[in-house]
Amino acid sequence: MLKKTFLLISVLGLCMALAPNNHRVVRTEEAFVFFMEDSVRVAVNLAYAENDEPDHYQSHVETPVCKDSLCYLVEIDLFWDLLGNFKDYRLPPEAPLTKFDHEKFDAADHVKLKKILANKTSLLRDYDMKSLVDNSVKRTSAVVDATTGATSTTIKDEVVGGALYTTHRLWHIVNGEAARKILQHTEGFFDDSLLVQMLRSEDYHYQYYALTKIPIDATKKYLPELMHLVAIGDEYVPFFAVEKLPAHIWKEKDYQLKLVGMIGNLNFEMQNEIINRLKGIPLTPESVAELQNVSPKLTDQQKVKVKSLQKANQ
Amino acid sequence: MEAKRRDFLKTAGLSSGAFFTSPLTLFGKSPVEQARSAAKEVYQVKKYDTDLLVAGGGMAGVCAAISAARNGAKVILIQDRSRLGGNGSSEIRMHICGATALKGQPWRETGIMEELFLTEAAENPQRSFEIWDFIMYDKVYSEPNITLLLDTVLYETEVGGGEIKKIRAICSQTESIYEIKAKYYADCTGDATMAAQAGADFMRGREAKSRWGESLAVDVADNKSMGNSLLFMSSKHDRPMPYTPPVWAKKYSKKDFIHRNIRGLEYGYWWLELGGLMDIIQDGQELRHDLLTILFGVWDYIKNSGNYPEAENMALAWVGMIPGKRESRRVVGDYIMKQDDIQNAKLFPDRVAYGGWPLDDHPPEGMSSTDMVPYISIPLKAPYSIPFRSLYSKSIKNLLMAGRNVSVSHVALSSTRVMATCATMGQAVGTGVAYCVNNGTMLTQLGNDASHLSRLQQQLLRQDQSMLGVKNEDDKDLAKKATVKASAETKAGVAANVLDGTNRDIMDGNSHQWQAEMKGGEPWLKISWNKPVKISNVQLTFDTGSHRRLMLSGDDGVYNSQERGPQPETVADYIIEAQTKNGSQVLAKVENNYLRRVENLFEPVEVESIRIKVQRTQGDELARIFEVRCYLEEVRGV
Repeated sequence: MLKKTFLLISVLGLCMALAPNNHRVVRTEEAFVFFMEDSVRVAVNLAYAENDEPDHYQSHVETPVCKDSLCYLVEIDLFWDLLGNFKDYRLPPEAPLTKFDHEKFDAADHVKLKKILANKTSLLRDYDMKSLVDNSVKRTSAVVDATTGATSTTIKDEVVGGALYTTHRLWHIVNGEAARKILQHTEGFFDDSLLVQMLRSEDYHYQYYALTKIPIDATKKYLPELMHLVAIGDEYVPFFAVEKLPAHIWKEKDYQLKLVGMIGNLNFEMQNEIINRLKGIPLTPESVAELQNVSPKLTDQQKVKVKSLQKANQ
Repeated sequence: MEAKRRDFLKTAGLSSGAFFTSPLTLFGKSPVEQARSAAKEVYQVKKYDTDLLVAGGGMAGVCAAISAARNGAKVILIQDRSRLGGNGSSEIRMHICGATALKGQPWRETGIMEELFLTEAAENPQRSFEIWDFIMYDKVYSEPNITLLLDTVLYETEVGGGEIKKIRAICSQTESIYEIKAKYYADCTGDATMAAQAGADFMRGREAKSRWGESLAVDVADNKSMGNSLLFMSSKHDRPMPYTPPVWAKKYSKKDFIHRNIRGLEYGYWWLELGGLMDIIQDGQELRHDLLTILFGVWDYIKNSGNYPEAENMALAWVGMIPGKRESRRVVGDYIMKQDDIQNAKLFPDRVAYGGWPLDDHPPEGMSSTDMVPYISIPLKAPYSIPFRSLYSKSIKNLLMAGRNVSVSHVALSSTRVMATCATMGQAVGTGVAYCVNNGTMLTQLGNDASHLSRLQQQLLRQDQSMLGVKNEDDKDLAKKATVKASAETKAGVAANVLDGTNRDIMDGNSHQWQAEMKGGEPWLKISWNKPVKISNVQLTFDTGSHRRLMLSGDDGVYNSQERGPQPETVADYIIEAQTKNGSQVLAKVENNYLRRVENLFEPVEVESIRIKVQRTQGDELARIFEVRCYLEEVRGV
């Protein structure tokens, strides 16, 4: 779906109209500008979607990628989420990414590059260019009168083959100062409405980040969102959301029943989390009955725990 | 509690070399207190005079003692426990990591470490940590030049004229005070206890990026360190094994394990780690208890969260009581190794050992912040060399170091700290001391003089030390003047390789070994001289699969993925025959060898040629020999 959208966009030349997440961009404003170590200027814009909600950051970057006399200009549009996580890139049709000897990136190269750029802990973070090149192996260019060192074998999975310098350069633009400044910039305008927007989003990065931003004494205010995340949050988010539920709601009839009712639809570990948290809490007859309803969906070991909950509340 | 300890650290100052009233307390009453009160009447004072005193019987200390002893130095090894092996012993049970972290590369440590690895793999099929202790004990006890003093705690180091004059140590079980004078002292304590007592310059905490331009360093220097870990083992029973944790155990839920992988249940986890925010030496008592609260809390989570149904029949079988330490003091040497030396694999002129573990730093918070990733590990491209200048003190003339307390930055330590690397340093230090004793050389002279170093490197290489970029140039090796022929050879393994000066795969496209098909019978190598030579020692180096990991581990995944027992590539049975003017003569007949380096010793004999006939391998279809050396002088076998 996403790929089709991109294709359509490049064909129509409407690069700015839709964000990588398919949201319509209504306006952009300059968020900040910074300079790479070699003075390349990078301006990052904040894009707003409908309802004037901040949606993502983007930047049109033009940077030379060089090694000795092998050099070319990379022109690329980069997209980050509001927390500085890389989301996507787009290229002008007239300036594709190329590898050693100007061979164009193929589809697999793009998939690999996007995966690398999305990995904040890639070893590209901790290796400078000179350390990545194996100078004991030289490659000679047929196009340019030059040679370059080959990619060291141990790091070849971390770079697009034949495009070591491009990969390294782009990774540092995407995940270096820009990522840090984006987070800072977002924190500068972070408010309750953005908090709620993130809690309600479908992106677990946003969900988790927002959870950490809920003040300890204000969890009650976000109860509907928290209950929602307990029930359907992605990845490890439900385990943090459940932690944020105020203690008293476990004893309140309606909430208790909702939590018990969720058990049947939760994943195995989250089921255990709820069952364990019910231990020692007085359960209403409705909750006890609901436990009976969800019981067929449980393992034998879980059933033993549920039985002991029911017994304790007879 | 932790906040208080942090405050304490703040006031402690960094790397000042100054310490507090009793810096060396281990557990309970300090040894010096014990010594003062008890020595008056009951304790006997025993005096020793020796070439080398090794303090600390972990992997570094064991290898330092063995190598010095084998090279002719008299050694006293003191160890504060009843068992050798330190972090690798049955008391802590960390498996011995090293350069095999460079996956697909052939850099498993050789030398004494390899001898221990291979012996354990062959002689400990029962996978017992206690037996592993005794394999080390046997190696140490079998050296006539070593006096091993177990349960013996160093408590005093006397210094005069910039060098250590003597040390005192106490053994409460035997009511003994040992007063030991040595020409050289090797601090293999891990905590650099002896160096601290001697007033040697040392570093502690984490240096800032700006100090040495290390990109992986912290922005602002602090007194924090990597933490300690406590391990456990569990076993499976034929019935459910309920578990009730102590009331003081911590409580954990799934959210605490998003960055911490509970993979197997049979062996604990390195990330059961804590202490980087405390004084990791002085706060040891509290720290151990805090680690136990974590350990039992994690086991409670495994047993009772419901998330590990497979844990139902499992029960704790062993719980460590000695936290394994990663970091404390680092003694300043003539050279301090840094991030770049490791990441860019600098080849030092005074290289005497190597490492290959990633730059694997652990945030000091450990399990006190389960929302943080417990490690940042930067894989290396290649093994890096370790200079001799980082293995002796800059400020105390006769003090050396091996292990985690050597002269490295915090960032460099994140790689050099693992035990197989520490072991290679131990062998370098022990051999270096023997060289100094035999040649009347000062440590700093040895570290900075190319001709001395070249001789030390040749000595180390001959003894199969883990070395990078050093070829056999030993003038005493009579095989260098010989020619070689073989009954058969492969394209990748020509006979001439056994005399090419390189005794292992170094990833240069050459196997550096002779190979011959075993199915053709008993392939042989013949080494011939133009005119007869007198020899008394044929040293052979075999292939033991150095691209594979090989260590005792409680982790099923780590253990079961290894080739256990004798390594299949190894030549098992062979005969060495000599052609003399009086006809042929058998010089050695060996069965069931599993070692990499073997010295075959015999009465001196004048030979025209020798023939090494391979009768059996430990399973491989090819006979494989890396190197043949021949010597006249007598060298003790291993």
